[in-house]
Amino acid sequence: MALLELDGLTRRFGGIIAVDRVTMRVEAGEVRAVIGPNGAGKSTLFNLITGVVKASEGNVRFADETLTGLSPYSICQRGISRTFQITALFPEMTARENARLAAQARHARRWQPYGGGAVFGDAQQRGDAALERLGLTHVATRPAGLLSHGDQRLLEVAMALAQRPRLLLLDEPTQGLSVEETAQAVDTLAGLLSDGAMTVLLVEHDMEVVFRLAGMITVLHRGSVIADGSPEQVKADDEVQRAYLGGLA
Amino acid sequence: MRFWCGLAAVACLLALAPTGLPPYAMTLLTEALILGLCAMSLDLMVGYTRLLSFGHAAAYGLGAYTCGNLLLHTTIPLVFAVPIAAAFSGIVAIGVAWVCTLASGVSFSMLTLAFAQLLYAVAFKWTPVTGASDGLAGIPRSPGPFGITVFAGKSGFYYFVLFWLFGAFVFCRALVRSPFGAVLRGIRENEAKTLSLGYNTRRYKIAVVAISFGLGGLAGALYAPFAGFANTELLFWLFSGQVLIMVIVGGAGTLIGPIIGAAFFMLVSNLLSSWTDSWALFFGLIFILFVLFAPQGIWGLVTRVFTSEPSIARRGRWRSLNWTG
Repeated sequence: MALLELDGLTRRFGGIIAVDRVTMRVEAGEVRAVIGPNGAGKSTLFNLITGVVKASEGNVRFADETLTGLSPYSICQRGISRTFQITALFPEMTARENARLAAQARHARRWQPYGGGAVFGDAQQRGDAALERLGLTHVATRPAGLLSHGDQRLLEVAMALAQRPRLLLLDEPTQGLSVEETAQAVDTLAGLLSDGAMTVLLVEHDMEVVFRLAGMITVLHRGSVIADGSPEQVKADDEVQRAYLGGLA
Repeated sequence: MRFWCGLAAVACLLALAPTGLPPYAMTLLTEALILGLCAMSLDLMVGYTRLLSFGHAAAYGLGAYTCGNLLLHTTIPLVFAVPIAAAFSGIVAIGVAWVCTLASGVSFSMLTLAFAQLLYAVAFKWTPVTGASDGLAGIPRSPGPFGITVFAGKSGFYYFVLFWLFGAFVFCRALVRSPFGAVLRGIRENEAKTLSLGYNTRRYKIAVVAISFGLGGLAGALYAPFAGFANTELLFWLFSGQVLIMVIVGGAGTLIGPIIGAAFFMLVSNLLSSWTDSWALFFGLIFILFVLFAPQGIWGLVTRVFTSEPSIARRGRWRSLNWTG
């Protein structure tokens, strides 16, 4: 049984079909990348899964439960954490506080209107652990808004990790990074994913990043899936070559 | 620890005020504390959650009219009428917030303004309850329970106000430092992110509006027996604007700042109005100067003197009032 199943997922914006009858499965423990040229519908796909955008047709099933129609917060509460293509942080809080607030969201008493020593303590512990896994401990006490762009991208991943999600959605984790920063970030992410304990769905532009991190690849073109398989299968696919890779492999 | 010492010192100082100040100054001080409570309650929305409300007069007026009616037409003593009126404002606010939080940003502000103006219009027409343009007059400070009359006197009432202000301050401080308060800060800085982290942000916003209105209603409920009357002025949009100015001039997002801002507003408007009728013009200038040169407000200036390194949180405070962020 797949952890995440998309079945005929469609989203129209007026006359434009951004996502067109996408059917796709993500097995537990898999790292799958969704690739495709600009405007292929990758980000809309993420927004459909996380409930930010409502589906026009089709279904999202996660761990045998239909997510269609649920709000973003309740989808997150079911165990799907995401990062955003454009960095979304709490800029005036420190990196530690960012991670803590992310972890707090999974605490039963996250809304407690008084005290909070115990809630904060648990959340901080999980947040700090996530920061450490992404090598951010040395910048933990700095305001998130003052971190380097590379560290901000990683902080967003740390926040998602601090929630201990069952499925992690990464929307272009190396977006806007320099070559060196990308190399560093990919090393960190590869280390993180190497134990195979996490299920990840990844949108990425940079093919080197995709081939390094992902075990399975889904190729989107104009909203539809045109290929699905291992990196080797996808590289060898004629249609993918024409639509996207353009002789890169 | 330093905080509690400072709080105790201020409490002692304020508690001793009736022994040293002339009656007129005591009247001003009592009103300043009531306005301070109102401004502090608005700070929960404006400073901590970036919910810019242009309708806080609704909370104040609602509390004042409710308390006024309870004291005029029932035998409920003052000490109970005030918290009942506050609770009523908070409960009404749940419905209001439910509607207003359907929108965000400027639309939210306009809806709060619309609600306050609606109450203003109702107050003009619903004569049996509000006394229309005459308002409610002769609101007593009913004694009891057990024949307690101490709060009826000038300094007794002052202590009554002081008690509620300190209680509300300690409550608000605990609230903004709690897990709930952490979520409010998240909404202030990035609501979409807070939502995607799994927080039902709308529910948090409704809760904070209800609490804010409850405490604003508490301030209004204290004002009615303080002044002895309640009129439509208390519900007018001008008052909403003044409270907002108190929050910003005092220092949004600090709780203490708005209380100081209210006292500053009282002081300056009294001084200015003694030599010019157009005092509001000059206060407007002061407001503009603060927004331009000291967006962190009076309390921000004070804390900057005592701490050397300005944190990003304080530098960014003005942004927290900015709609577009």
